Amino acid sequence: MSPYVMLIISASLLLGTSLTLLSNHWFTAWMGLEINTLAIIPMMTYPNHSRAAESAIKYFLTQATASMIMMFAIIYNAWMTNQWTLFQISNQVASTLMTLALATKLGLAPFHFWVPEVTQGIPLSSGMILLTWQKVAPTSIMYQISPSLNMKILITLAILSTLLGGWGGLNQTHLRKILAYSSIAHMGWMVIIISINPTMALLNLLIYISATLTLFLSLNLTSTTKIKSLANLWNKSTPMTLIIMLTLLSLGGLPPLTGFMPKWLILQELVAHNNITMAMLMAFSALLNLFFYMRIIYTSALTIFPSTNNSKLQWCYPQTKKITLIPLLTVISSMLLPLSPLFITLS
Amino acid sequence: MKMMVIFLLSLLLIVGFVAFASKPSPVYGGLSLVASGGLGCAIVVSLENTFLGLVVFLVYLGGMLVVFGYTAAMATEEYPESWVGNAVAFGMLLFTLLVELIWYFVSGEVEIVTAVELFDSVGSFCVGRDYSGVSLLYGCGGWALVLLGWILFITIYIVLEVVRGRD
Amino acid sequence: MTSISLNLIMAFSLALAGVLIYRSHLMSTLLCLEGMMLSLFILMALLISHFHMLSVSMAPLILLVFSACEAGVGLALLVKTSTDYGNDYVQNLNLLQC
Repeated sequence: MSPYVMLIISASLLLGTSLTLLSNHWFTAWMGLEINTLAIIPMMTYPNHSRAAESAIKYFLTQATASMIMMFAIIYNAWMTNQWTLFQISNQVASTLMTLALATKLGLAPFHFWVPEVTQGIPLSSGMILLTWQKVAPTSIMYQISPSLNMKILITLAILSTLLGGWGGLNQTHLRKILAYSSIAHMGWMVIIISINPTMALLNLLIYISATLTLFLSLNLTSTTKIKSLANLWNKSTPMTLIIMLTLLSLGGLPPLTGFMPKWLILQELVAHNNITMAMLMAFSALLNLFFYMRIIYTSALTIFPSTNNSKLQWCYPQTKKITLIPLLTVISSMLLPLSPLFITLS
Repeated sequence: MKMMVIFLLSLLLIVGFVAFASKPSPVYGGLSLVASGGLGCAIVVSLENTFLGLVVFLVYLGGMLVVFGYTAAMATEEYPESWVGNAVAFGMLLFTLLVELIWYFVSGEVEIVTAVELFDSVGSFCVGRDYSGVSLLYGCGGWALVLLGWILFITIYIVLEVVRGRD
Repeated sequence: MTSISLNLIMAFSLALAGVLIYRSHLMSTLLCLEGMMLSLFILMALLISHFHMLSVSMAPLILLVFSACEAGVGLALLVKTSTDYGNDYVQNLNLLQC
């Protein structure tokens, strides 16, 4: 893609999300989401093969339908309550429709089918934007309307998302699909807490985004898209195996790493609200996620795959790609747990 | 009387929507979308939104005609699929009929006015009450105008980037 | 007034059902998307003139601009698939299924 077009497109992505974040009128929030959808399309079709076109079509159709349903909910709400401000969605039907539309946009479980397929067909850099930056705008809307959302629908969406996000990834060998399923599961964790403690949901999203950015950037460094090609990572770039291992364990939520913090706080909050069954289900389904993360770790860091002698010398050639962001993001996504008192007091 | 006309127009609009939502061959689909666009314009105009109706008629139907021409060029089938034997269309019509009947019997709000008078609403008809949207767009909504210009601008780039074959 | 808006809501949900049906041409799906936009436009014009919400009366115009943009991008994607496959059946889009 020509750098000028890239500049225009990424500026529009920024514009769309910031428009949604800054708006207090439903219509401008909708406009921001729409700009986001339109602007990421050329990033998806950038490699000129039919898989990219197919994922762009699937993304476009689902997002366009979701934003139409959202617009319908907005109009219905305005018809019933004469309100256009963002936090007023007091009508029950409109609020339910809005939840479903936002769930489609975020890729929550009964509406999650597009996420793995779309992520599979596009390059790693666009996948990174799709699974991180594109979640910000719908989450911000959900955060603002969280008092008027229906708790039962949210809990159903969340439990289904975490379970399906765990189960779906078990059978996959493609890293992008695994990351997509992990995204579904994390969105489930975010949604279950959003009506109890919205700030916790934002914290979860933030930590998910930093860990996913780390993973995508380090996979992009070696252009790895399958578990099989990760097996050769130890002689291409040895520190990368360690980084991927730490980040995956952090995504899975193991104690000394950052990813443990949101899961711990969410479970604690759920138990404090007497939702012990829910907390147990969520904790169990996180184990499914941890299982397929462990499979990646096993292939990349715990074993040395048999290889020919010629291919064992790749580490000694100098790196040409820049790793500017990776060390910083690794630190953020694995060592922030001691800072958790700070995050708790933020809320 | 006028409400009755609008109600009948909206019923026709539903039929038009069934016609393209049941997904026949795109030629017929495009044709019925154009027809529904015309009906929608008629509804909007009869609610005294003359300017919006004009915009829909000129811009939307104009754009739709391009789409329609394109679909006619794309449809290479010798016998394009119509609605004959289309179970989806039948089901949609049946569903619509059911909902309308339920609505009629539950609320009974639909009053059938039989006295047909032509031009019965001329006296109170007020042209151009909806210009305020445009003046707002040029006035205090200036940033929205800039934003819309930006959107149209990037859409050109998006379309070019998508369609252009590389490698 | 209520029955007219009910009819428009019916029209919207019919078009939505049309988008969700996995059948025949991609073009028909795009037409259904356009139809959803059309019904939203009429609903919004109705709402604004019914309640005299003058401050949001520019919203239908903005909606039309966005619908034009969506139609443009959708047609571009359609052209892309039809150059790849030679036709635009939605059943062709099965490369990425799990």
